[in-house]
Amino acid sequence: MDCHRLPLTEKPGIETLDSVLTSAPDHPWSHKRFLPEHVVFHHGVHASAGVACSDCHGEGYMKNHYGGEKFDMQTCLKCHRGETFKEKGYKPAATYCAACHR
Amino acid sequence: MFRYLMLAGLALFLPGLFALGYAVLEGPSAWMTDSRTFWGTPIALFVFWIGLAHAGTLLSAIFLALGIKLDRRTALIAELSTLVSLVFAGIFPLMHLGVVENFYMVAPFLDARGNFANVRSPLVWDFCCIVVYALLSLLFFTTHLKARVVPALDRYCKPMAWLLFPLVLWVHTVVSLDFATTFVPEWRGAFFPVYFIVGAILSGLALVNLLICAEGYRVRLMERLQLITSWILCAIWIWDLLFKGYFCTSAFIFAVLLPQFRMVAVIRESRAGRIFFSLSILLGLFLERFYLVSPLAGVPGEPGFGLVDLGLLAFSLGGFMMLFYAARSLLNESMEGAGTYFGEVDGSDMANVEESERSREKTHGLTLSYIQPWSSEEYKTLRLPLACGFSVALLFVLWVCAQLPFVGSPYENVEVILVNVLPLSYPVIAFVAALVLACKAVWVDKAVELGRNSYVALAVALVALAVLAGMFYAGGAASRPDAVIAEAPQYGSEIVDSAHVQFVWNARCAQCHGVDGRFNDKFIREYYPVPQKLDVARIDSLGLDSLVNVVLDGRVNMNPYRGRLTESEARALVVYMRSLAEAP
Amino acid sequence: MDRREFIKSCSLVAVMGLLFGCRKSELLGDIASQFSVPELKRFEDEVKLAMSRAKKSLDLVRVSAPGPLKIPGASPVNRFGMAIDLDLCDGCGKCILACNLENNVPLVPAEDATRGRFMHWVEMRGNAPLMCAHCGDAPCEKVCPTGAANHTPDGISAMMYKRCTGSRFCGANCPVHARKFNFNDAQSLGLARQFNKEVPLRDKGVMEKCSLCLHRLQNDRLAFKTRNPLSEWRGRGVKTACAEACPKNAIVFGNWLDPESPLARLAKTRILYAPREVAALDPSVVFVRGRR
Repeated sequence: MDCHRLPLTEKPGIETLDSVLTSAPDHPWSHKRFLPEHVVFHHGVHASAGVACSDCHGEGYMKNHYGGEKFDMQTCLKCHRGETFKEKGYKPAATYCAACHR
Repeated sequence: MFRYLMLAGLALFLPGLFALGYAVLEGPSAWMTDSRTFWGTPIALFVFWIGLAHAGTLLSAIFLALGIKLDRRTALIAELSTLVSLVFAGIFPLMHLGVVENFYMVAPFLDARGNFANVRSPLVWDFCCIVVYALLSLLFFTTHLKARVVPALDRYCKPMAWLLFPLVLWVHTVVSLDFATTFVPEWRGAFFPVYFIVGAILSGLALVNLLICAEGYRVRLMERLQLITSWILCAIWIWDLLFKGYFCTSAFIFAVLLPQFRMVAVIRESRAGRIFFSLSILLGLFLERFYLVSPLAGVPGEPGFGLVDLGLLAFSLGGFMMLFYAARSLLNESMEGAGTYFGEVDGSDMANVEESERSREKTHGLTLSYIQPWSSEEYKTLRLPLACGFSVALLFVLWVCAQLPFVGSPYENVEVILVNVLPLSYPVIAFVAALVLACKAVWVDKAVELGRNSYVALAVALVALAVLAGMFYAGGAASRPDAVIAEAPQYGSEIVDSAHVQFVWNARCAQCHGVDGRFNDKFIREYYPVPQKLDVARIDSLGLDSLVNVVLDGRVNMNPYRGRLTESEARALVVYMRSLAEAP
Repeated sequence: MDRREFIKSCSLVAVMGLLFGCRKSELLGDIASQFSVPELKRFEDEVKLAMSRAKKSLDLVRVSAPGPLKIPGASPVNRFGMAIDLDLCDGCGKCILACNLENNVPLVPAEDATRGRFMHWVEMRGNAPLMCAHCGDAPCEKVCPTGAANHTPDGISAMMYKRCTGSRFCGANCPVHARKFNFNDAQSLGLARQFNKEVPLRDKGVMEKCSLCLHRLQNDRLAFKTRNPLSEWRGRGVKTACAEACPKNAIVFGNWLDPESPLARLAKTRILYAPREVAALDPSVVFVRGRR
């Protein structure tokens, strides 16, 4: 859509779409990580280890509520020590400082 | 006299406070720091003041415990000097920190914040010992002071002195371990604890002698002790010289050589002479600590002793004089008129004082014989508190050893052995024992009646302590929340690397202009008139700037990209396009 | 309360505010964010200056190849380290600049520079780069009161800046003085620049030192574990910034316990040395010279 100046179809909606697109910024959404610079967090590792989204984020995201979760080091550490989610059988994970901090 | 000394103190203190404020604001670059040890004036001042702080307890508690008679006035002066010195000994290590707000992380306070202070570090031992020492000194001083009004408290002085006796030696041993456990060549040596204790005793004696000179009397015993301690210190310095080749000449002259003039009767008998010995020893020992903490001081190219350092020195000296004499005038009544044993204000009433003291002891049932450990009065009083203290310390040590290496904690790979926790054991014992002893005195033996005000003060102190403990436990946020929000990297970062340019080109330009910079003929022919070929010659003739403008503002069939690309990206794209055109 | 007392208490509050308030005040923070970032040229110049003032002597003694760490919980398969090939190194100093740019090492003000108080994690000593040796038996970690200096199970002596209280005890206890103290607030003085978004800028008052490019290892580990949750990560393919920048490939980064690592292969044929001061402390970063 970036490059077409001529309308691609005859449909009436195309003009609205075009006018919106020309004024749209590159990133219409803005994603903010509320993650301090000295903390490393990788969603992929947790997902591939079998941690479900709802384990940390609750059920809110299923109802289109995003953000607002508050995490602190204790939350992370408890799970990494294997204290939370005992019933799910998550393995204890690394707890040394440099695993998550830089 | 005291008022003038207090005002002189204030005059020194105010500019010193200014220097302190500046130093805290500016951080460690404000004062002299040794480039090798990273330590500087505050630590030298800390060691100096903590040494002075030992004198009071040492003189009054150890003399009391060992049954050496010292008049209450000298004892109280010594104890007061301890308390005031401790204030400054506490300030300097705190202000020395690079991040002052984080000082609480040093306290081994459970595994708060998912973390535990590194109990292998002498600084942690240091922190705990000094806190306990300050609290116990305060308790001892209050008991001693109150005992004049409430004679029933007298029987608690000696047991408390016995608790403090090892603590004094313990604290200074731990302070010396700050140095002796390191790799700095000048600081190594197993004799350091003894060395530091002797240094502390000498400087403390000098301070107390100086203070009682100002009171207008003298204690011969302490002057002699001062002389003897300087010989011991001299022996240790010679030992140091033989083993490390390290010798501090200025400290030797001031702390050892000049005080030997006490042997000359004329100087000894004049008050100015006695003041001179004490001042000389204090100066010598300050220099000694200073050169010990910053071994490179005086080496060319190293930072020198600046105004801020001088200000810090003035702050502590002035502050000491001010606080001491303020407290001294408040406590005037409790100090005056007490029996003077060695004090020679006029020296005539020695026999009377001794007699009255003896009769007083008889009425209170205290015996002045040699120490009988297991049947003595002190032991009976201390039995229960000590048992409590030992059991708490044992529990603490067991707890730490069971937790560390904390399995699954941030420090699971920290090796802690018993030796690392032992330095904390006696402070814990002494603290708990003193607490139990105090509770016993107040609520079981009813030796002292607590008024309503005291209960209110106690409640306030407990609440404050609980709040503080809670704050420590929770810990602070690492930094301000708004400062830690990192936005996901956006387009338009200043530096545009080649990989990024290629990515943008392929994503945005390649549909028409082609991945290789040659037109995507098929696509264009279908929708647009064919644009002009952009070969190197044409790009160069149009110029970089005009092409950047075309990218940003658009031209004919080219769409404007302003707002979607930054200028630096556009510029990088044009350069990239030229490199594509150049390619064969 | 009468007027005199009121004024007295007010002035007390003011002094307390002066002492403790200013360090974190909002005002200072706002000004700080407006400062410009220094140019790359200044970083290059500072490296040249530091190299011209480098200490000449480097006293090396022979050591054996590092084995598994002797701390509880140490990884039996990973111990990262480096070797600097003294036969190849010509002391060009490109590693210093690469390190500074990779780890956002700040500049120092002029008066610190004249005294040689640079923040560089890598410095020239005896015409060879010297950095933290990541001792297995690290003396700096033992004396750190807060535990900000600690060891990872895979052999890196890591530094947790937010936990550091700046007692500088570790700096005093490092035999090769590899630790640098942030005397200045480099960000508000306009002396720091975040070349690399992966590495946070350090605040005033904390210690820092070579981290063996910890962030690269972290990123690689996380990516590897995402792709292969079940297999063992050995840190293959990771290189430190200095090793990458060395034109002669004199700096070799690797895993001492991984036989496939270039480091382990190098150690088989070469003689290993370490600075005399740290040779007994089980260093992970060593020098190699000559063949055996």
